[in-house]
Amino acid sequence: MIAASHRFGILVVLACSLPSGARAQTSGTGSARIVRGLVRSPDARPIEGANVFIIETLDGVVTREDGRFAIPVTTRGTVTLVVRRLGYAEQRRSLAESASAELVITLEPSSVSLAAVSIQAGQYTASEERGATLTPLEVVTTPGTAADVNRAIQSLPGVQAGDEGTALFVRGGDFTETRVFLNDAGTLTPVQLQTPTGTFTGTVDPFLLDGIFFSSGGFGARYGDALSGIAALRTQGRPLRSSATASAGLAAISGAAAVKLTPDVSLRLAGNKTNLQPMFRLNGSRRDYDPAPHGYDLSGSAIYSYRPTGEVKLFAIRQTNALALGVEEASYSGDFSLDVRGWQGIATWRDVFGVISPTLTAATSRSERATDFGAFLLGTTARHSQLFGQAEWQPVARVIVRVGGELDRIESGYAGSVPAVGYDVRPGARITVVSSNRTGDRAGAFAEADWRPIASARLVAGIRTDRSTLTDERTVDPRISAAWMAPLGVTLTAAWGRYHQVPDPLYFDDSLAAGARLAPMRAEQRILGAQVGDGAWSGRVEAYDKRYVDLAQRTRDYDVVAEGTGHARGVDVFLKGPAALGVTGRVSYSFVSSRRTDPNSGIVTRAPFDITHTLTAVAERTIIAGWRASMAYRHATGRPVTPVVASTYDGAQQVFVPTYGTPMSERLPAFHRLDLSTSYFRQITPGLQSVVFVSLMNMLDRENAQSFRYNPDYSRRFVVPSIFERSVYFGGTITWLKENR
Amino acid sequence: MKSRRVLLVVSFALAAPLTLGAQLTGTAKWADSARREIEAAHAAGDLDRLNNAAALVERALVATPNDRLLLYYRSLALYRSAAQFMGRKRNDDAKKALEEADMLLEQIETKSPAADALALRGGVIGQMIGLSGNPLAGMTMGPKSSGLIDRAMETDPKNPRVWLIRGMSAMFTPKMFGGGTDKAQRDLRKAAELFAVERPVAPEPSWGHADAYIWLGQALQQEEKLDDARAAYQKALELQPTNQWVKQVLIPSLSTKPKD
Repeated sequence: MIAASHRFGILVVLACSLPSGARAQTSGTGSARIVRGLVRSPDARPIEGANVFIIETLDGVVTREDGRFAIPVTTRGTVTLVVRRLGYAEQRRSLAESASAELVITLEPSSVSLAAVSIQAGQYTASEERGATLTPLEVVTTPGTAADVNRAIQSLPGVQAGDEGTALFVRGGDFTETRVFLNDAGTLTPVQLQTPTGTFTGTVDPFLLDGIFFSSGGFGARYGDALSGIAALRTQGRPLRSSATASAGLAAISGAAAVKLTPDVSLRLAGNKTNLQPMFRLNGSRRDYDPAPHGYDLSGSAIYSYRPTGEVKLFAIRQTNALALGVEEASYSGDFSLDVRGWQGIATWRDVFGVISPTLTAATSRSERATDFGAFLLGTTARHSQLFGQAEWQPVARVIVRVGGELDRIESGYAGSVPAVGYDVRPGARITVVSSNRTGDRAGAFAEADWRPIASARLVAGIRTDRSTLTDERTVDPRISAAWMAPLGVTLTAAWGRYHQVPDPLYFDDSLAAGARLAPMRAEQRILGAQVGDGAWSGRVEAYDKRYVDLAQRTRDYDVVAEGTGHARGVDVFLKGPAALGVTGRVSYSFVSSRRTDPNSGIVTRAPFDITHTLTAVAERTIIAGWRASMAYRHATGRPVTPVVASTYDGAQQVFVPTYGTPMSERLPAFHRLDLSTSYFRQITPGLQSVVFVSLMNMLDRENAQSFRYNPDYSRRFVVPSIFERSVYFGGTITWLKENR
Repeated sequence: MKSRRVLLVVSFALAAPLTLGAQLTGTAKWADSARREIEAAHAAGDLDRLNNAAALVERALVATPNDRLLLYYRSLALYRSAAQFMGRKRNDDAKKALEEADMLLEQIETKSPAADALALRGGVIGQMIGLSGNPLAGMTMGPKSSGLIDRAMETDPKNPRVWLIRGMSAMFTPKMFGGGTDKAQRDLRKAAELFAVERPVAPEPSWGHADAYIWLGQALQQEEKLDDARAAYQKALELQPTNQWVKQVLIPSLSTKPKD
């Protein structure tokens, strides 16, 4: 009784405080009509506790145990009745003034009814945030990824990983078509070590990151100069408390510290030194490294939170990587050596002023690469300066408008020699001496509206324009993406967009391009998808179609040809969730058919990254508290290759000249790999914790193929194996966390 | 006499705007009504009434979807409802309520992170750990919860609800992970001390004074300091005489011999 009278009192108070707009619509007659009805589930069971109200006046009630409600309506004309209940999709009904029949409202269950729809076609995130596809813990503990960000991204659908490398071949595109961003600033190289035997190192240590956003396509207007995909990495913010971490493993030692200097100012420092030599010594290696891949990275960040919503972050990283290994080619067997070093500095400012959230990023980076293999002796340098700004404005509750722009300068230089013909790389072979410096300036601007007309729908429409001094051509890219939470917890997604990318600045050199006019490369993407679930379990299917024009590609003789075309079509499937016996797992499967102009023959055929089937399955289980075991299996169709079918002897140059068969008519053997890992977490004291881990890589000891090589007269073909035999890797980490006061 | 009348008129003239200013209108009035209703419903242990309070705020949010206080009070209503659901073993409902509260508090955190909202989100995430069913959830959600409470403490170290939630969190955190009843008692006593001098202005949050003694009593009871626990519960009842949990569950539990 007390409760009832109190409720009545509250209703009176609330009725008196209605917004003036709502009151203006209130009838002066004083005679209320009553809207009555029943709220029930699809199986006709009454739903108790649903919030039923008239949106024009906010008058409403909560349904009783029998699902019934009665609302007095004091306004004239048609009104809108809203019904909401946690776990169900919202329902709205328009009620004419004359309507008097009792309403029966059936609510459809919705597994994602809590949050407004956040899924978009082609997008995956790894963070602690709601709706993320993977958590950071899942990223670093995926067996076989060696805690490499790129390898972890490869476990997501849409990435064709046909070997053990770290490059991201996304939906039938080359890895150079996927741009990697660090704190909104583009990175110069999507991989650190690119060798004839694959790519070794990803971008940055995942322990530096607190969020990874990956888009395999259909990304919005904010991102320019990328044809296929986006990997946006965000470095860690200010630490919750001061901490220090030391790690040692068979091939790396690292240390990190986070210090809260004041409540507003924090510092993070991290260093990591890697050397694969001890690992190869213990496990053996199919390749002859001298020295083995090694390098270090040092990074630091300072974070100043000058007010609760405002933050300035400075991040800098210095990385070096080098290796040398024996490489056998038909014309020459010898050492291939590579030395890559670079650094990047990024300053980011972000704040929130009422309904406007501005972000500003300034970045500069430099990379140097020296490659030495027979007649191929090339040093390249690149300097990249960027300025990016964006303002996000929320004019009304369901609309967010983003506008922004970027200025981007790449200064590329190279000097050295490349073989005149790709099949003759002997020292002393005919060479083309190259030396060039190229500067490309690109200015881009974009505007995007993110509209949620109802809680269950989202439409993102945007447009961007770019102009580069290298192509001297303005591009305009409209993009649109939509998502709708349909009944039964299914979210349907669709995206369409046009994408442009400026070819590598080095391609514009006259000695390589031979007068070819290079336009901005263009792709048009169409995506249709569906997702079920978004929490502990989820399933997702996406089909896509990509068409390419104006591709600039390099031939095997290092020439650049323009006006390539192509298309890629495929289906990606992702399943994640708990299985039997306490096992949780995820499965990614990608099917793709990718065709594009073969730069050597000019015909449209399979693309070099047409990896028809890619499958990754990961299973994890907690054995006892703190002890976790996981397994990952990967399979991929072999990459297409153009075979050598015959050869002729060139007496003048004393070298066999290969005759190539039908372009991309054969494939490398399929890729299979099984990895296991286990880790044990122990809380030693309240402020001290440790993790020890052991990984068994390539458990099946399968000799996966990296490429084919031939003997000097091309009469015999051999498989070049990938680097990892069955290997064991182990290590441990100890972390100290400053205790609370 | 004339001068006294002039003084009276001047006094009224000065007082009038103050009185008018103190009257709440519009959204603030909705928020204040919600504040009172949530606390009354919580004290009475009345889940229906809490649901009604949450529903009322949900309707008000249709008119002003980004209002910080309305978002906060809907979250508080859901947080309080979750506790009631858990008491009735309706863990799925509790989980849904906490998930929505977390989402709403995240919205506030993005726009204007205040100590009350940060601490409440820390408390919400702390409760979600227990309901997750995943033994490793504490590894990721635990630091997130304590980080939010730390941020709340940095933002407003004199906010008693931040100390209250930190104390409650310590009670549910094993000593090995930095929690324990001794830490809980320290934080809850500090909360009680700050509540005694807090003068909140409606419709800003003012809840928690009785909770500080309720949780302090439980911490003391766990250490078998039964007389001290009883005193804490009595103090809670002085502050919130309608609290059914204290009357019907906690005080009677002091007379029940613990099982060996």
